[in-house]
Amino acid sequence: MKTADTERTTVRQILQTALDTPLEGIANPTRDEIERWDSLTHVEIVFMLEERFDVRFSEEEIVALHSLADIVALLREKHAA
Amino acid sequence: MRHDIHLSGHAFSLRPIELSDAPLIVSLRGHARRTRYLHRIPLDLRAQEGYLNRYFDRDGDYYFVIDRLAADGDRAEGLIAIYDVDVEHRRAEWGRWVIRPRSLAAIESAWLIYRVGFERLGLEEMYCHTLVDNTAALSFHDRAGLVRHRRLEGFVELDGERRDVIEHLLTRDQWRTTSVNLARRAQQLALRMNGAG
Repeated sequence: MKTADTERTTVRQILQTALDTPLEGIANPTRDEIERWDSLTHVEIVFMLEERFDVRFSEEEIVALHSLADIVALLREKHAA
Repeated sequence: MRHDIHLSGHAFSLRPIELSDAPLIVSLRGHARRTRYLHRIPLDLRAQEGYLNRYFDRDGDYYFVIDRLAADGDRAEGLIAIYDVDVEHRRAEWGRWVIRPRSLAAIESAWLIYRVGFERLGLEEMYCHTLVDNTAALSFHDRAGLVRHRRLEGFVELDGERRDVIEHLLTRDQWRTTSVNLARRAQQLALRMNGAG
């Protein structure tokens, strides 16, 4: 399993790529504050995360992912299961 | 206007709105966060029934309910419409787009409304107006492949204030590319929603 820091860094990189937005200085980017994090991009992010971390998110989980912290927490849950 | 266009996708469908959907309008449009960028409407059942009755008599206006397809019965998750149809130039606006919180209907309902416009109504152009501060919606349209055609200053009045909108445009030619992207994502998401992805 990846270390927590590495996982967080990888998620951040994925968000940055999908959102095409620099996230430096934003500790916990959220859907509410990143204007390019729209419905379409959200789905792109979900599929990128699934591929990178070899996990599957349920419909409820996809809807609930609102921030970098949410994503990291859910990935940890899934890896711990 | 009363129309009979039904269109099903992978996880959602569009059906004509009915008078009995007035409570749905009140419920969806009453959600402040979801509708803060839409025209204010009276959140009153009778007022909405009156609105629908006037809508039924209005030509060039196609109002739909977005239903989630489910084995145990479809359920409404949103509203969407095509209106101001210019028959001569074969163009129309789409909007009145509102989706229940926690619904994943956005991508597929956009895909379906373009299919209605280009495939059923034979339009050559579809456009939509988005308030300049509705950044998520602007981004959605950009990502979907629409072109930012122009900025219309003071185009709408909201809460007593004139506000600018961005007009996004999609032509029939551009739709051929856009449809591939939206259809692919709608299908992938539907597989996940149906537990098969």
